Amino acid sequence: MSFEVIGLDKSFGAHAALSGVSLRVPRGELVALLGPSGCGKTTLLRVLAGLETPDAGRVLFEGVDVTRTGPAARQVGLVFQHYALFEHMTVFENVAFSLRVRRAPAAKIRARVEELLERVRLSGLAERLPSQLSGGQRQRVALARALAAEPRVLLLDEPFGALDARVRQELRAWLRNLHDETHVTTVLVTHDREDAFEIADRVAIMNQGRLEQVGAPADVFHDPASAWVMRFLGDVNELPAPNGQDRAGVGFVRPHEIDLSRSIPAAVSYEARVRRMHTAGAVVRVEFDVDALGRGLVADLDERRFEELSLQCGDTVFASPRRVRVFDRL
Amino acid sequence: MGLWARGNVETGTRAGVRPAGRATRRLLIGVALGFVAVVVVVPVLAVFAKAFQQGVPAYVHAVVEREAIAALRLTAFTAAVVVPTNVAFGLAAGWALGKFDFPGKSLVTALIEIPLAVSPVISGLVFVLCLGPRSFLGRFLLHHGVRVIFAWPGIALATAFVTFSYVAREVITAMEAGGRDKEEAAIVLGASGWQTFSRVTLPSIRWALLYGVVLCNARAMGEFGAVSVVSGHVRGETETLPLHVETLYDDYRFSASFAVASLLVFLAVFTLVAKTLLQRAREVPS
Repeated sequence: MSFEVIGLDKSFGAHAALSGVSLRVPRGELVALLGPSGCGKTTLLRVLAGLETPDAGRVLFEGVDVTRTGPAARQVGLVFQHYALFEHMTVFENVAFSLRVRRAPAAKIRARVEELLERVRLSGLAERLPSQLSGGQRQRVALARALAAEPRVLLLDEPFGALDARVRQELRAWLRNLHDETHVTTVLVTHDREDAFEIADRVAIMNQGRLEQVGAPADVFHDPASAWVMRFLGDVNELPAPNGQDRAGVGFVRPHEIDLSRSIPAAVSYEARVRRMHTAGAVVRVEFDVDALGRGLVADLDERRFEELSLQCGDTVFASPRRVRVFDRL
Repeated sequence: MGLWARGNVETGTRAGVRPAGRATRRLLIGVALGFVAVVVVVPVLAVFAKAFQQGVPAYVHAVVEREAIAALRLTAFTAAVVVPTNVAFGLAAGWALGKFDFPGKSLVTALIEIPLAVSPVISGLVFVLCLGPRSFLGRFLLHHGVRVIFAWPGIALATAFVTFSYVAREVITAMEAGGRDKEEAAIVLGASGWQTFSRVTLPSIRWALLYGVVLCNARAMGEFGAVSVVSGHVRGETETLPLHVETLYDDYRFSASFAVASLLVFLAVFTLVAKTLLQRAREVPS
């Protein structure tokens, strides 16, 4: 199902959780709402679920206004950050809940629940209680429960937030596969860039109740719409705007977009002195001071390049940014 | 204190405790046990000693005589009216206060605690003033054949007031502790308000509710002050067990008085056992 929100405002006391948020999500898309904590992304999710009523704006499901429709009638699946499993019910009964309250026939419930447990790979655990499961298993129960009544849209609130790094990695890939099989329109709320970039078709970046930028992960990463997005999406070096250009601007260079060389290159470059180097995964991070700028910068070199240069601390090098993005100073 | 504790941890044996520490510990335990003996054990033993002073037949006679049975029946009847009433109220209050926000919430919370703060005798007196034969409302009710004060409705009302908070407090605490996530999950999954309450909320607070019921029941059966004021002490009619104990005592029938009192002790022991079992059940959430 496609959905759209138009001009959503929502305040809690003096705090504006959403201001003027508009977003259109086509059928079958997996969109990630990405932003720091308190940016309003969970509020947007709750407005979509019908758990919060916006102060202004509209929510359309497949073109139909559901702004005033209660959560029960919206047919959405919601996975809470801490799963909110029913602790007194078995895994089977948790997943069966939405079918039981709709008084579905017992045989149909059994078939549907078994199919879902199969899909989330929990078939053997149907009679367990949630307290007897691991974090990753609980998460999958919550997902199966949300999918049981065939929701029109699936809403996931920080689905990997409470899991350790390895389980997180597995579940991400698994969730993306699940989406490719089911094609349920899905909204995923996360503060983690990797979550968003790895599994989402599109990323909607939120800051202080506003949508900063919406686009495919690669587009958002390579063409950030604002200085804030640029900073939020990764490490940056800040440079004063080049001579002759807007003095109010500020230039941003990602560490992997800086070349270091021993001799003066053809491109614009700064003379620099290497201060510190350390290996960070597949790249070597080099910190160096640029006297002309009166500040330090960092560059990420791949290992081959690093070996070619055979840098030592204190060496003089020339740093040339391959790509500078200029934004107005905030 | 800190030094001794450290010695104890390092050696991992009692040898690390200095002799002075051991003496202090024994003294403290002795004081505590002595206090419990004087305040709890001796009175309970005294009740049984007095109850059986004139032998077992006299004890049995005192417990099964007409007025004692009537008192027992009225006490059980009062509890049977009051406990379900307070359960219904407690659940409603707990649901409203524990799961929703509304203006005046803290005022309602404070009101629920009032019966715990007011002396029971005063609360009984308030009912006499409001509903007694000299009050406007009391006269009106009497005119229509309804006797409240000096009859069982008054006793039930006064008892309900005094035990008002027990269920509500337990339920509110449990509901707040449970948060709202599970109810929201249930509603998003398509459950109605009633389905959410009966399938999700109620099972999650069931032990707290039972615990509140046990406390409420014990207090309802044992209440003396408030009931004493509204009952009128009509023998065999408006006397509950605690009032009957007093009446027998005032008649110099000490042994019979203690025999009836021992029934209340049995009730207390039963309550204590039930309470302990419930507390264990709550510690192992299922």
